[in-house]
Amino acid sequence: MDLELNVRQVGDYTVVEIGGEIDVYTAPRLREKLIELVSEGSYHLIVDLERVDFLDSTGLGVLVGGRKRVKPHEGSLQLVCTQEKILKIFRITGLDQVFSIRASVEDAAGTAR
Amino acid sequence: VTGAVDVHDRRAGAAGVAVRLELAPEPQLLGTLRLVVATAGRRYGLDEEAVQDLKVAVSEACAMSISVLRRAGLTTPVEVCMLERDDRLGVEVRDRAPGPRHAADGSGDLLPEHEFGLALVESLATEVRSGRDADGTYATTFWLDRS
Repeated sequence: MDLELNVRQVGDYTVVEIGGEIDVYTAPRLREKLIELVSEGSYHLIVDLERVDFLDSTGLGVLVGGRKRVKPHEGSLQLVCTQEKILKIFRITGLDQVFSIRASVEDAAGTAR
Repeated sequence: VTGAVDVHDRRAGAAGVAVRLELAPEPQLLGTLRLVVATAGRRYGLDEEAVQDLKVAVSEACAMSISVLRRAGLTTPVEVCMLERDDRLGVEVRDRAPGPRHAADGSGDLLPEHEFGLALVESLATEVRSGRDADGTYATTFWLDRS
């Protein structure tokens, strides 16, 4: 089990593509990546969860933390996810009402502002 | 058991205990644990949605145990028992960490990092119970229905 993180630019948006499992062991790497991106001036983030196999409460906490970090910069943190098993985690915690969850990176990049 | 998941399949013998695991308190072992419990859940007859619920609930409960064991500086294992009952699959997660499970301010709230995890377990499973037994172990139990 490992966490794969790839970063690319789509227009004004920085896309973080995640593969693998996000849990208490791997989530710190994602947290560090988000902190690094914000400290470098990337304030409009799209986190692509389409290749995530597992997400736990630590991962949710990291995403909430990322959202808090971009907010003071009038930034945004959107999610891309169509996987029911991952969407369910957001629904039962109520975080589907907190995050903008899009069906594709293109959708997120085209409608975020 | 250190750095490994030890599986004893006791389906044929023990009363209702299908699988018993001992997990060293190492977060990197949670992925292996999830593979094992998912396999056991499928064998029991859970559908894929319930298997996912099982993985999340067990992983969260074990992550909480690992957290308190490591905070206490202990290397004693987390014990996971999967219990078969008619149309339900039960999970019991035990550890021997003596530390607090509640906020130090006496509010009775869970430690902040555990709140989300327990909320997930309570949402995905039924009859979630947790508390310390007379022998000092702290146990969290919950059930998933076989659809």
